Order: sequence, then C-alpha cells, then structure tokens
Amino acid sequence: MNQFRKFFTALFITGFALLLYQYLVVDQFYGIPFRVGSIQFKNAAEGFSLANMWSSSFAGDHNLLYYARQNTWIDFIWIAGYVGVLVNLAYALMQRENSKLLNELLRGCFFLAFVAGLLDVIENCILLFDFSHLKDPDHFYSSMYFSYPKWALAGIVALTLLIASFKRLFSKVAA
Amino acid sequence: MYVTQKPKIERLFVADQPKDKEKYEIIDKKLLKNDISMDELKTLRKNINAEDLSYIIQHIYDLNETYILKLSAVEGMLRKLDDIKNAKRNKRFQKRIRQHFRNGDKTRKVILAEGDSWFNYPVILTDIIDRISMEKNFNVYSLASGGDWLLNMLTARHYVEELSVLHPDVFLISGGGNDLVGSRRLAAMVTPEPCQEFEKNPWAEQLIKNAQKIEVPLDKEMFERGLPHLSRDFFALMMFFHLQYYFLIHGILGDNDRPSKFPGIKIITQGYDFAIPSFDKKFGFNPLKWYVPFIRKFLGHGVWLKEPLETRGIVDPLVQRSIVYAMIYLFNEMMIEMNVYFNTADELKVMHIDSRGSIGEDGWTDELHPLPQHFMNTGNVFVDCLNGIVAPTYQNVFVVKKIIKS
Repeated sequence: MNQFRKFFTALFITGFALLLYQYLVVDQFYGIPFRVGSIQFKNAAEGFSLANMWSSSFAGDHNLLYYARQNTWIDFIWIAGYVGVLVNLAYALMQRENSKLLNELLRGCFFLAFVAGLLDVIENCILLFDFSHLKDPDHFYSSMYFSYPKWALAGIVALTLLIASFKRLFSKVAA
Repeated sequence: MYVTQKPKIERLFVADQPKDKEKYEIIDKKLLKNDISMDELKTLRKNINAEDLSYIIQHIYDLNETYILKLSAVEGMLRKLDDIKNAKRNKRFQKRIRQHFRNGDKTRKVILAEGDSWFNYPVILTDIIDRISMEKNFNVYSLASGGDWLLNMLTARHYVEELSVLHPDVFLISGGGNDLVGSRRLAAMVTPEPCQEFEKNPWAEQLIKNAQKIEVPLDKEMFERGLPHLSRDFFALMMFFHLQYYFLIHGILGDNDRPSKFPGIKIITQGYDFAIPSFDKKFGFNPLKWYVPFIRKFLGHGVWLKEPLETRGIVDPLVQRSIVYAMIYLFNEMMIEMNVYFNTADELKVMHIDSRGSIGEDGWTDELHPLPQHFMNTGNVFVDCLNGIVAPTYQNVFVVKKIIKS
C-alpha cells in the first residue's frame, strides 16, 4: 500500500475510532442518547434549541455541548481521512476501469469527494461558531445548507464506487 | 524494484574525436546542414552507434553532452510521481509473475514499456499503459516517465537491462516528444521567416510523397502553411530521431549478421497527434472535466508549444497550429518509414499506432496530452493490435481514427 493510502487510511481509522469511543462513553457508559449528528440538519431555530438543551444536560462531569464541541473537532480528522480514502479508492478503481464513462465518473469522484470534504469543514466551522454563541439566537446559523449538499455528493461518490466495485467483481466472477 | 535512475553524466562518448572520417563528413557537412541525400542517410544509418548519436545531438542543440543530459533528466516532483506510479505498476507485474502468469498460454503477453507521459502520466489521467494494463492477459513492466526524452532513454539504457531479464513478448516505445518540445526547445526548431529547408531534404520530401494520404489525409493547406517555418535544426532532429529509433530497434531485432537475442519479440511505436498550441486555461463549470483547468494551471500548459512559438515571433494561432501539424505529420511518417526496414512480407516485427486526427480540437487535456477518453481510444487500439484481433489499416500501421470508428 503506498504512503498516501496508508496515511489517509490511518486518519480515517483514527477519526472513526475517536468518534466511536465518544459514542461509547456518552451513549453506552453514561446511558444518555446523544445524536450529535442530528444538529447538522436543523434550521437555525431548531439548532439553537437543541444546542441549548445540550448545554443543560450532563454526562458525567461535562455537559453534552462539551461532547458536541469535542465531536466536531475530531470530525476534522475524520474528514481528511474519508476524503483521502474515497479519492484513493476512486483512483484505484479508475485505473482498472475500461469503460470510458465509468472511468470519467470515477475521476469526477476525486473532485466530488474533495468538495464534500470542504462542505463538511465549513459545516463544522459553523457549528463551532454556533456552540460559542448560545446566548444570542440572532447569531446562531444553520449548517444544513452545507450538510445536505455534502451528503448528496458523498452519496454520489459512494454510489459510483459501489457500481464500479460490483462491475469489477462480476467481471472477475464471469472470467 | 529498481525502476529509474538519473542518467550517468560521464564521458561515455568521445564525440570530439571522430574516428570514422567519412561518417563524420556526412554528419557535419550533410546531416547537420540539412543537405543529405537518401543514399548518404542510408550509409550513415548502417553504421550509426551511440557515440555518433551523442555527437549529432550536441551539435543540433549547440550544447555539451553533460548539459544535454542534465536538461533531459526527469527530476524533482515529476520524477517522484513517475516513480510512484511505476513502482505500483511493477509491483503488480511481480505479483502476477508469482501467480504463474507465464504458464505457456500464448494469449498471455509480457510487455515492457519505455516512454514518456503518453505512457506514464503520473496524476489524474488514465494513460495508454494504464489502459493496456487493464487487460488480464497482459502483464506490463513500465520504465516510462512523464517528461522523459528519447535521448535519455537511449543513454540510460534501462530498457536493455529489463529486456535481458524479462525477455518480453512485446516492447512498447513512446519517445521524441519531449526532445522536440522540452525545455522550450521548440523555439530552436522554427523560424519566423519562411525558409526552404523542406525542399532541400530529399528524405523529408520522400516521406510526404510516400505518405498514405487516404488513410491519414494530409491537410495540404495546413501543412504548406506550417512547413516553411520548420528550421534546419528541425530536419536535423527528425533525421536524428530516425537514426535513434533505427539504432534502438536494430539493437533489439538484430540482423542476419547479428541475430536477435529476443526472437519473436514485437515492437510497437506511437507518434502522437496534432497538438494545439494554447494558453487557454479552459475554466468553466463541468464537474466531469474539473481536472482540465487544474492541469492547465499547474502543470505547464502553454510552455511547450505556444510560448516558444511566441518567443520566436510566430504569433498567428493558425500558423502556430500549422507548424505543429507539419511537425507531427512528418514525425509519424518518419516512424512509419523507419519501421518498414524491419518487417518482411511474412512477419510484422515492428508496428506503429498512428493517432493522427483521432483526438480533435476539443480532445486535449493540455497542449500535449489527450483527454483520458482519447488516451483510452489509443490504448484500445494497442490492445487490439497486441491481441491480434484487428488487422493493420495499411502496411504495419494501425490508424486509431479508422479503427475506433469501425
């Protein structure tokens, strides 16, 4: 495995592991259902309300807002990881794909994965800003305008990779 | 796996003390002055060696050998990226060898590839060797490096080592483009004022006279517009390419006096397409072509063709295109003519993939490299040629434009 792939795979696993650990601590250990990801789809009013609820709910010594902020920082590692992994996967499949259309779509995935990551970064920046401005509803902004396109792009990339992978698998089986 | 190294910059050749007086008379007074007859060229070709080639190129470029090798060396980030891609390819090669690739199945072919960025474009694009490598019955070992010069390939002779080790079924070679346009050398190959160098060169005239114009039509207007701007150095370089390729192929295939160490080996050459000088970055909204402005902005677009032509005061875009058209037409005809010497009526040992006219106006990623779909078109023709499922369009030539249409 070349150095780039190793590096991004390591980031991906690290980010995932940290997020999983946090889930295990809050949800399982303290028994508090904490769906931190849900805030990315809320409008400003709903998000403000949710964030304030987190600030007054505790898991151990920290309130849920603390964990939300921590989760968002960890997410930056995860973003770098998944973008790198998606680009590497797309590249590996692209260089084995002799259909011109699918080859071009896989190449397009580099760009789409990068844009998805960029949208995710912007989303996180908005959330971190919001978490610091809970006293003022006029300065709480919704990140959903970046979250929905991010998920749409990530979905397109994932679908393209799946199609290319299945095509490769079927051609191996057929051979 | 040892894949690339810097060329040894040492005095391998004693080019300033010519041994063969007659040969060097032909080189100095005829070839370099673009005043060589067909018989003289044939005489020269029969006896050409590495020392002579070094002597010629030093005089074409007006540079000493050390500096030429430095100019032609692929270095820095490009070298790293080339090496990464080759390491990956060659690791896969070794893996397939360990899986008994060479099990006697005649449809399976071990292929050695040496060349430039048409064989190894190290980022983003799917190049010709990538396409060939997709085939399960082909196992490709790559020495190709984006930016590499034919001169460097012949000097470093990595292909010689790998030929001896691998004994491939096929040897693919793509070179000459960077010798012509690398380091802005194109500026030395043209003249802003029209000249008659073509008419002085019976070999070049013969190339056009013998060109198969039905299969690869000659746009006479473009050709005649560009031709007068080709300098004496360009024709000297074309003849140098002819001698280099002859030296390379003859070294592999041998002759009656010196039989080949690689009986049965096939060699395939390729000659690029009509590139378009341009500074246009092609910014626009097309997510599927996102890489075009990126590559054009950061990877040298404009530097190879447009800028050297503008440097020489050739500013009319139509004249610029015509000059490149004439160069590529002659380059391909040179390759086709040279390959003929190695083929017989019974056996095609050397074949040529002719991409002229297959890419079109909108088919370029940048000045020198096609979009991936066009790389794949040429790659598909290579695959068909290697599998023997398509006949040559004529002689030993596989014309991409004709084959992809049929």
